[in-house]
Amino acid sequence: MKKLSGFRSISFIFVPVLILFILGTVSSCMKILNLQIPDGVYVVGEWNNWVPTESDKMTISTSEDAFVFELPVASITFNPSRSGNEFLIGYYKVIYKQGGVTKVSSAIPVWKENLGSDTKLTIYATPTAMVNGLAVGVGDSEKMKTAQKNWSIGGEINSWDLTQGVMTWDDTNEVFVYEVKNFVGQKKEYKYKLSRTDNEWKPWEMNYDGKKYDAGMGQDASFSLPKDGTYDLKFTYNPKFSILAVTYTEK
Amino acid sequence: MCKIFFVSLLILIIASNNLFALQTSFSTNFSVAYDFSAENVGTSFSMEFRMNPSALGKDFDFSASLNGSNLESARLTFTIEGAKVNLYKNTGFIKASDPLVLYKYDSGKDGVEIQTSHFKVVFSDVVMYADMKIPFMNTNLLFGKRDEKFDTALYGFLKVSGLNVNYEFVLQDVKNFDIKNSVGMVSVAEGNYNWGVRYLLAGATNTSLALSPQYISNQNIVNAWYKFSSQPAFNTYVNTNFCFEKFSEDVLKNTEVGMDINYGGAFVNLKKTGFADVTGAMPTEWGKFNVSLGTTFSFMNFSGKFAYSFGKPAHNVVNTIGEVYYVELGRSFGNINLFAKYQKLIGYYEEKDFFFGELKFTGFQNADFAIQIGNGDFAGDNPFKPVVAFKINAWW
Repeated sequence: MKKLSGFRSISFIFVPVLILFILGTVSSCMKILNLQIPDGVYVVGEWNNWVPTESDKMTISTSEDAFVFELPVASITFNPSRSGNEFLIGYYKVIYKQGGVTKVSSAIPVWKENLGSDTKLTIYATPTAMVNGLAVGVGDSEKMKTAQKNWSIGGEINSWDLTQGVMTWDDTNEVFVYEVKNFVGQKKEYKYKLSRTDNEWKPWEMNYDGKKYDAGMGQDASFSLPKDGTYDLKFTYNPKFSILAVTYTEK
Repeated sequence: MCKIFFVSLLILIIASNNLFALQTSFSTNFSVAYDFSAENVGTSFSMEFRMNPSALGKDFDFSASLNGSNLESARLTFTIEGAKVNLYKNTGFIKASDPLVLYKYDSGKDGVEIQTSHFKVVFSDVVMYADMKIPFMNTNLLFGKRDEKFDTALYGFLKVSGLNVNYEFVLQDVKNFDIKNSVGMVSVAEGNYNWGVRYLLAGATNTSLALSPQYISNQNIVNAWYKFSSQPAFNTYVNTNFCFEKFSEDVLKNTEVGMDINYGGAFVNLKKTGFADVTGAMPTEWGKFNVSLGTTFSFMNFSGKFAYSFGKPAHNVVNTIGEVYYVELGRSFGNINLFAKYQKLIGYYEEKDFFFGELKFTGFQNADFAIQIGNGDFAGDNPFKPVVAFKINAWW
């Protein structure tokens, strides 16, 4: 009995401590000792073991209206693509931390051959558009290049034929565009996906469903039409922030 | 095919025994969950109906589980001439008895197990093995076949001057002898296991036991422990692994030293893994370490548990330095049970909140009903999402 009462007294010491812990993070070792990385937007990858450091912090660019970071291409670890050794693919992620809120993008692939002679990769991020676990809100200069292959839309609207869905660059709006005129909509939802122009969908890692790159079989973007009818469709892809969208005009 | 075999065998055995008891229990569960985290509320349903027939006679017993019309798993045990025979259908029964556990298969398999006081034989499609006692010696010989490979193990137990000595020697793929496929182990412990040392020597740094849960991290693995006192109870331990070529480097990198203290429902655990990565006085420069403390408590008729840990890695899903707060509270109001747990994880750059609450009604004769909020798996990457689930379990 004596031991039990001793134990109870220990419990009663712990309860106020517990309440203190629950009520706030006043007693947090991480905060008291200032062990957390300062708020900011960071780029992570193999070069920093996927853990942000002060030197991986993105800076705000007023001209881009976004956070920007120039990553030396030499810092990226490239490995052969799953779709063939002729493509080398590296990855990075962007981490946004503000107070207790953290958003970590999905892994974003970089296609080495498409970088050509570039020695730096420019990475862009808009934290307001970022969604935890997705690529949305993050993009880079490699996505803007079409020297090796264009970007294409493949989907139910063109029998998944990427050669029919080649996108063109709209310099004013800084987006890739693919338009389909007089499309006869006969159902509510249509599936599609973004890829480099290659009917074998290579490199597979670049396929994008509007949420994550490396979108595999069955991972598709989709758009809905309000009713059956004839439409002009406009697909856009913003490579700086990985935003894939469809707009339509009923005819 | 297997189902027919089982049923025929069961009928045969039942026919040969006049006395038997047949019993069947039924259970069903239904759950519906609403996920409010997305723009459109997601809904998921699940329903299961399970039948568990069992029969018990003088020399046999049988149990099975049918999920809908599928035979999910079954076990039939009977005795012939002093040998116990177990027939299994989709059951996790493969587990060798040697200290290193040469064969273990957790998922369900079909097979036969025959056991006497001197040997055990197991037949299955993944492995077949025989484990037999060597007469007049406290030693067993295990011989197994997996695919086209044959393995053997010799293991035993000795009592030497009051000390418990366990030993085992394994040679995998005997036909293609390679020192890489051999493992030896010896452990010496005090009679009540209050202290002990275990040493494992593998043939190579990349030796692995194909179907064993024993992970061989290096060529040499040493574990030592010392327990003392009971109120509070202390358990101290040192674990290390190394290869002969890089002895000092490996020991510095891989050694794990720890102490666990338990007093009633309270505990403190201290652990440091590796010393090569200690670079300074700040916790961020300590490399891998963990400090945990906690206690059970009762407060205003609630019983609960509180725990705190600080270290690197902070959690299963957070590899950086960080801390984890955990609290759980439960209370019964007659047939109504209330339970809630909360976890906050503060990492180097990320913070995650976990919450799970359950209101369970158990006042029904053959059923219970629960309303749950959140995901209860706090060890995984399951930060709180507003998911509400309704669950009904019934049995008769």
